[in-house]
Amino acid sequence: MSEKFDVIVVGVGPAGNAAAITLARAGLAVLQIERGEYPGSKNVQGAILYADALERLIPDFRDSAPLERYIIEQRMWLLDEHSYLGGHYRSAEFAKPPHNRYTLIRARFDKWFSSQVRKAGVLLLCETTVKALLRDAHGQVIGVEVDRADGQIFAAAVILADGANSLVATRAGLRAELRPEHVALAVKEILFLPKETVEARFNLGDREGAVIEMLGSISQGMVGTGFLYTNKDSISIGLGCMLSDLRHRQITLVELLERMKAHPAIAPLIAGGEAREYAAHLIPEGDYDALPQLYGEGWMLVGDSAGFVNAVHREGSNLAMTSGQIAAETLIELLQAKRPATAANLAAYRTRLDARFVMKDLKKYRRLPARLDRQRQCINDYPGLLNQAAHTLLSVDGLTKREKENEIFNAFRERRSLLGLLGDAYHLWRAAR
Amino acid sequence: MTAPIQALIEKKLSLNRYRVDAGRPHIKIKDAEVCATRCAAQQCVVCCPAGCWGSEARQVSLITDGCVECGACRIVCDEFPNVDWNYPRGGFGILYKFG
Repeated sequence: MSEKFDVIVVGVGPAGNAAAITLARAGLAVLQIERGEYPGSKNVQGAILYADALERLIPDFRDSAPLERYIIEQRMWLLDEHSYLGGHYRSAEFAKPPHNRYTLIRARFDKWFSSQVRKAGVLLLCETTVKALLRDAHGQVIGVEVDRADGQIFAAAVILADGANSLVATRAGLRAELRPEHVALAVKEILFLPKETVEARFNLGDREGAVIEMLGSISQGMVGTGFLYTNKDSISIGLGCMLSDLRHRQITLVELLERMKAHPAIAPLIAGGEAREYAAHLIPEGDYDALPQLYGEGWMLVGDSAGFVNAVHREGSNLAMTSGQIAAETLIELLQAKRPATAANLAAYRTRLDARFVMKDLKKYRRLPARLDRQRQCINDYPGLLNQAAHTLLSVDGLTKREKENEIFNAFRERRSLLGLLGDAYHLWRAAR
Repeated sequence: MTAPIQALIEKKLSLNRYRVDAGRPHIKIKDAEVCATRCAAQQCVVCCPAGCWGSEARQVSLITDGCVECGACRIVCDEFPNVDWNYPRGGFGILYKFG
């Protein structure tokens, strides 16, 4: 392929698609490269779609996108071995269009998103793995090398949307190799059930969805969370743990997943579900300070390859789309003004990200991962203690309420001093503020 | 990894669709001696969510056919970086139907 493009986008996930469609609509010649057989074939997500980020790209996406269910109920559970204590938020407001969040099946959604991108004029090359970046004598990135005959393709700039591993950027020395303390490893399964069964079990109407986020005994003391999302006629269930924790344990994620599925509060929700796929994926969960350099001479990182995941709020695909769109807008301005994609000129990408929720949210929680790492009791002790407290309060057995209060108080005191309890509350509040 | 867990993983992987690049594994052990004699932890074996890595009498083995291309083995192997990790050739490897 000797043709020269304005921009090459590596990857057809949310970040790459957002970048590509924005570039093409501005009239730029865009080549998008995907190593999978079809768009979505390598991509994994829980998955929840946040409408706002997509709406800014495709305002009428609801008319044609393969959406599973709009979410009307969010459950947050703290689990012990036998129980959970939780908060549920369900609102009829969430049932009114335009809906704010949807559950998704990524392979189907990515295929649709990619078709929209191609309609805008992007040329898509599937079954092609990018092996390296091409540079000129001054170090400016001028294209990519792919695993096809005649494998050099040139462009004025390259957007790397190649996902959490971002092998291309790492190999090119644009970013450091990922470290175990900066990534979570997640596994998930999709379990099929009749549509009516999903709706009956979760008290849902047609197209309405519920999601559960979980913390506690399911991660066996590791920093990690679990999830259960309702799709049309299936349930996505999974959990992830920090790789820095998992590496020191003699337990596999598959075992954790099976234990989670057998939990007395979860098992009835998924009973009879027919498993049709098992997936695993890395999630970049380094803090703000672990973010790599985001742009350079002729290149930009977007989405997971840039580490844009808000682990606290379980957001990623929206950060991916917004960063892809901003990267594209930055390039459009430059290329239309006939200015080169140098690092100095691309610095505007970072400035724009800083002004949006992408960086502001990541910055807000910059202290939280390290804090959780130091205060394991938040994961190890509190879910169990809170469940025990609920059990004590809700069992009527002749004990006086004062005796019950003392029992609960003493249970907490046995694990944590009074100052420790106050300190935990204070430090977590500070870190999340 | 115990046999029942290996069997459990294999059952799960059997649900997945793959296009295996026969004879061209995308991940390789750089030097098997390093795994056998220097690496005490062999964390790749437990961390791999697809059970691709095994260890018997300290000899580490790798079969990439069921690999889901997550990258965990490469990242945990940071003491004696000994994993030569690449993506499969374009079109090969895991092909998610749902993702």
